[in-house]
Amino acid sequence: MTYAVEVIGLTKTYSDVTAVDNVSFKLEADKIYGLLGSNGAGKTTIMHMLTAQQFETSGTLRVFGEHPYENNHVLPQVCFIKESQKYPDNYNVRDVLAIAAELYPNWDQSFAMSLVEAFQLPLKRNMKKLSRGMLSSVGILIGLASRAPLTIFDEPYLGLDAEKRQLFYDRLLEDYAEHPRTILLSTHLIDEVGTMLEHVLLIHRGRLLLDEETDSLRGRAFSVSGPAAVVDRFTAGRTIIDRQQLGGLVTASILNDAGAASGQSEAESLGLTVAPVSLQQLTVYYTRLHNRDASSNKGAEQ
Amino acid sequence: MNRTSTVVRLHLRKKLIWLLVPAAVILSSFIINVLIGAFAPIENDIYTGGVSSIFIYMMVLGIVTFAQTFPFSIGMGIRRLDYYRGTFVAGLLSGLVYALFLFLMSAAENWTDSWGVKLHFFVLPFWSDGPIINRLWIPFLLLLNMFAVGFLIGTFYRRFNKTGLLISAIAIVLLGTVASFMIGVYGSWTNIFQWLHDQTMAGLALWTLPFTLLFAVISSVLLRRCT
Repeated sequence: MTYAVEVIGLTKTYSDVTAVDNVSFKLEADKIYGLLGSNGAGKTTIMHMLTAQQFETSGTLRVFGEHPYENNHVLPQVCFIKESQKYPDNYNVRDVLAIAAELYPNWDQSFAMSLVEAFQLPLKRNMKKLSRGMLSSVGILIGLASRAPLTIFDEPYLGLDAEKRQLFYDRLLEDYAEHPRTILLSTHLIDEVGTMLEHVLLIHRGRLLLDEETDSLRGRAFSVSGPAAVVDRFTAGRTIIDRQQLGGLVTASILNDAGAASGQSEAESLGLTVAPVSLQQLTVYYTRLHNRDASSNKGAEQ
Repeated sequence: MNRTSTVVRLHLRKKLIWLLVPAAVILSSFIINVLIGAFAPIENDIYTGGVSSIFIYMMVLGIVTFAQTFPFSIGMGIRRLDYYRGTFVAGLLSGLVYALFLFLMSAAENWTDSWGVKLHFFVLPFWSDGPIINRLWIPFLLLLNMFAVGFLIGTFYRRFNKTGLLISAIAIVLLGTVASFMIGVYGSWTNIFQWLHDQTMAGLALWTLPFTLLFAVISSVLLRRCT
């Protein structure tokens, strides 16, 4: 089977920093992936390398089975929408859409025009004079209407209000249902898109921390709360990703190892309150856990 | 589906900066000179270097076009090679249009007997020597050369940033200084001036060709690693 994306040992180093450190993952066709991680984690660098806009230092990179660099088999099939996309100063919205229509073979003009209306974009307005939110809307519009087999969104909604963001999610899901494709979405608003993501990749400091189906990830994580003694008895031997104490009451978030029994019913039988952990909380906890590990390792080395 | 031609259209969509601005620049200079010729109490013929503006503009066009459209093009999944070809085709086409414009205006200058006001704007001594067809291909080669210089500066800046551009500018100045010093030491200046004196405009224009090609090759190599 050919994967939409196949990356092995991908590394990007600048003179003194390693932005992406030995990352390996595969993206299957026609699935929605979330690329999560804090600022500067390396998400954008990975996305740039997938589209040959930046060059990897080492590692293998395959997009639809081929390397994307200067490759006209691959590049027209990939649409990368990023927050920092530059447009020619003298271009208006119509110019940008006309060029996009020429470049993406699956472009749907009537869908594009319906999005122009939905996002209330002024076709004749110069790109330089668009508000931040409108600029984001143009990117989203191209990303959707291009129907590229691999569509990458990197924080596509800067300056976009909640209503327009919802519009983006709705249109994305509607169109995805009719025209399945691989979508890689990088975002900080994890809870907003949490239900949409089928698979999660978590990047932290250039390394891949998690590469897992969202459902199984959710199944592994839950929080228990109750009296400190009971909670501590229950959590002994389990991976605690977060623990908060308020008087004698403790809330602990647990992340089971993959394949381990969840233990939720056991917790309930002990009289503990069990609650799900949201994807956003989970990534925050997981990232912090990793930070702690990194700093304690550093302490041990010293 | 030809993505090089998309790049050409991407550039030429904006006819303002490709055609109207240079035409406006040169025509405004021309009209002012005609007015001076018509109303100023000057006995002698007027010779001006007004046409040079279009050559400078061509270089600026090379620089600005690259800075404006390359980040957009690469972000839209255009190959560097397609961008390179398309941009040079756009430069070639506009160079041809400008050259044709200069050619027609020089013919008009002859027919109207220097616009009736003794103004030599498009027909100049040395510059317009030789058969009339020279007035078409000489400007074309020079325009192309200017565009290639501009494009080279654009790619160089993109590839090596401010520091790289500054260092190479300093290097060029230093090399030039050393070279002129060495030429002085070996007493070759007279030979060089003699050689230049012997050249026709056609000969000089042909000499730009290898340099234009060299600039084009260097910028294509630089562009392949531009991000």
